[in-house]
Amino acid sequence: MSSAATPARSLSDASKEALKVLLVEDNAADAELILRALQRDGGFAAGSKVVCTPEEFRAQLKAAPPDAVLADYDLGSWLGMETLEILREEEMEIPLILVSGTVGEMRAVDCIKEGATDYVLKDRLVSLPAVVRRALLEKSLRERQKNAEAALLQQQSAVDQHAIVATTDAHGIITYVNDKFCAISKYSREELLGQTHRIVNSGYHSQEFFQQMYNTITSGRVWNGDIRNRAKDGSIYWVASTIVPFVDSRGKPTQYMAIRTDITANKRAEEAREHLASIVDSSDDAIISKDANGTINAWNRGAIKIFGYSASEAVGQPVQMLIPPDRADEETDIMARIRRGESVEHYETIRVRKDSKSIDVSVTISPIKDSVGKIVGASKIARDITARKVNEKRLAVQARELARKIDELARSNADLEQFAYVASHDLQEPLRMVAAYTQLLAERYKGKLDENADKFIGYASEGAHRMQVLILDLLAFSRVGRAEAKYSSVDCNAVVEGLKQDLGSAIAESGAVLAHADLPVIRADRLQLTQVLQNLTANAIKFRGNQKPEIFVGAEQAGENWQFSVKDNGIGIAPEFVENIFVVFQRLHTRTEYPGNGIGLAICKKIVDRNGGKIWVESQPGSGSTFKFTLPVKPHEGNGGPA
Amino acid sequence: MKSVRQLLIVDDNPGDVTLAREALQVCAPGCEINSVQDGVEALAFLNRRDQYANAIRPDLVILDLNLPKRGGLAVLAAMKAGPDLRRIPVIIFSTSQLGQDVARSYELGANCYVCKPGNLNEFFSAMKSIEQFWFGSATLPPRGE
Amino acid sequence: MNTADVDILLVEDSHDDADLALHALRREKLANNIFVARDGEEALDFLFCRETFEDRSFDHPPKLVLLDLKLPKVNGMQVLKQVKEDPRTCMIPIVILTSSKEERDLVQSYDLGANSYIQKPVDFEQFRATVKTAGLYWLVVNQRPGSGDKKAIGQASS
Repeated sequence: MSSAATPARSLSDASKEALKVLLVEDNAADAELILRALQRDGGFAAGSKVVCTPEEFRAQLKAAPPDAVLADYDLGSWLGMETLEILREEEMEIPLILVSGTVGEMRAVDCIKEGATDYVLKDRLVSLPAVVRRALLEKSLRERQKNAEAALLQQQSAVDQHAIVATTDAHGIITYVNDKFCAISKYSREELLGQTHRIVNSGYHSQEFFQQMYNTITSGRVWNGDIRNRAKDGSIYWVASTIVPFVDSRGKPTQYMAIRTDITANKRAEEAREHLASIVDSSDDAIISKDANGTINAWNRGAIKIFGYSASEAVGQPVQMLIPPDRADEETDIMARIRRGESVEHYETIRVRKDSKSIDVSVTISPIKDSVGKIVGASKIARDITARKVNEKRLAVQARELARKIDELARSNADLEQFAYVASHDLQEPLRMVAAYTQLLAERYKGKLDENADKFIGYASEGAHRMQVLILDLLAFSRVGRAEAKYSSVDCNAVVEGLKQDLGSAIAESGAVLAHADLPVIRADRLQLTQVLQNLTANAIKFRGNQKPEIFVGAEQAGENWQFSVKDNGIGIAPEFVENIFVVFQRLHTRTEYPGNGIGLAICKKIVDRNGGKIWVESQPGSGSTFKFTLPVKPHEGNGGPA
Repeated sequence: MKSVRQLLIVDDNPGDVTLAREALQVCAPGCEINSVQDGVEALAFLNRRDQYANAIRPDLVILDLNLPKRGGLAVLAAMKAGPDLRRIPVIIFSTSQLGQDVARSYELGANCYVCKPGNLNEFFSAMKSIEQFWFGSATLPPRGE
Repeated sequence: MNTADVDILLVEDSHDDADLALHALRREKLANNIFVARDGEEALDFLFCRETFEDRSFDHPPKLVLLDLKLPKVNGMQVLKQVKEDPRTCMIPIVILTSSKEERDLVQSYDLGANSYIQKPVDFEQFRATVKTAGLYWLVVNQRPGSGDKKAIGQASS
């Protein structure tokens, strides 16, 4: 509605405003009046066109869009209000001012409701300029507002591209979240609106942290900080947050806007860096870095421990201070290699501590490159090897000691060899004579001298014979383990069959039956195995009762050992003697009952022991004996010397 | 017609010599046995030198290894080197069972090697075997002059 | 037959004599493995581990060679000479087993280093007995080179 109009001149300067008007008027005189009102009286420099049909109107609209449309209400065949429709069809927002004489106030109000901007009575044309001006002003205001809104939206969208945005009311209830907020928190908008930020609380920050934030923002100040949140699926993310309170005229916050950026990746990198740093720091080795001039710029705990300098004492100093003067050129050599991009690895050398003590170290030095590959310094890891060196010396001493002992053993063995040779040759010779001639005497002169002579000669003869056997037994006993065991594949069946030959006369004499199970082929020293089986078998034959000896040799695998058994039906052994019988020269019977020196079993035990096995007997007096012994399935070959 | 068998025993142990004689007494009563106690004597006898000028060359020599003055192997080597002594069969008769003694004896040309048994019965038995083969089955070379 | 591990090499061109000898030796169970060579060349190839006897080794010589003198291709004296002159074979006991009564053969054999010399008895029984005695002596009583140390075992009794 036109208000109490003040002349247009008060609104603008003297220069005429350019105005393009499209006049829809079927009465030319009226049109003239209207235009004159605008130009002459209104101060508008109005360019104008007059049309009177819809088609003309539309065409003119399109050809030269006006600033405003002035239309008569009643255009005869059509109504001025129809121009609204055309304007809408052409999607042009141009103010329509109805200029009419015929329309009543009620109808005029309706027209405005329908979309006309204003109306002016034809007999009040003097108010037309003001009305037009007002309409244009309103339009321009509207446009500015639209632009402002559009700009705001654009700004918002730009922010949304980068930032995670949420707004809350004064109580912290979330009233708005942008898409990025939803994306990172993995909650939907529906799930977030109406909640507080507790929904993404990860429990990481302390009560004090949130209290401080709350105090800041409720007092109207902006808060900045990094917050660790938890998404809907439990995953963790970090955001750098700025929370801005929007305050009213009294400075009291009415709402808060939080703008955040995702710094999870950064945080992870930071955590990794911290982790690495703690590894370096906690290492027992000295980890040092120096720049291209050899100045120390990093010094870990290990370095403090090994070299004695604190970090503040060491950083900034030349690394030369750690190097003893007689090794000064090591540093130049090392740096030369570093500059060429080479590393120095496990180089054993000597360094000097703060207390001037020298220490043995092993150093590894590598070049440090910057992001473009230029060598900017070196990292050095130094390990204190003093303990190792001490150990090495001790081991060397032990090795020498061992070598000496082996030497001694070898010599003592040589002595034993010598003794055995002497025993075999020189002792046996005179013994042979005594034995032979006492026997000859016994044979030749039996009954030809007095009865004592027979007895005396008998004792002498027997004694000599026993001595011969004893020496041979002793030699066999000492020989065990002196010669290197020769391992080969031994068919135990063949060994037992061979015994039938070797013990042929004893077997024939006693009527013994020697049988065996299907014995295995084993890895062993053939001679030694034969000796053991021969001794056990000979014993089985010798210590027979009244029946013909029945001897059975068996073998079975028990874990990592072969377990052999020689079972007989002889006189058996009382349990209290079971331990003794393996002792050298231990005999359980008098010589008249059973001949022998008691060395056979001792030899068996010695052989079995040397091979890492065990020998024992299971027996009862009167019900025979079973001798058992074990030999390893995989003998310790190459170790055949005196063990 | 075989002439009386001549046997030379070279052994420094009179006990062994007597045992040999006792043994051969039984199986070869007609055999004539001479004995010397060391290597020098042995070669003197074989070469009919000094007090052995009238010695008869033996058909067979039983030679011990362990002899004083000159050892058995030296005697053996000397015998097998000479053109007239070399064909006399030499039996090494020794207590030694060492492989190297046996090998060396054969290398130097011993005809055979018999271990001297420690046991009386076996000793007698060995002597009997020697006698049976060498004086029974084998043909001995003619005694040269 | 396994010619790598032979106990007795019998070099004899007469089948009758060979059979008799084999019979005598086998009866006494003196040897498990007896090889018969029919002529001097075969005997030499055998002992020198060549030609058809390439699988034989100088480390496993026969324990005894019974060598006739009258042989085709290469005679016994040649065989004896070559074997006794070569250090690889000179220690093998060679006993000449011949019908020859020539003193010349007797002397030459001993001169060339024959370990012993046996004149084959005409009588079958005596021949057999002679071979038996010889076998027993050379395989049981005699100590062969390389056999010495094996006697170590079996000495100890009880």
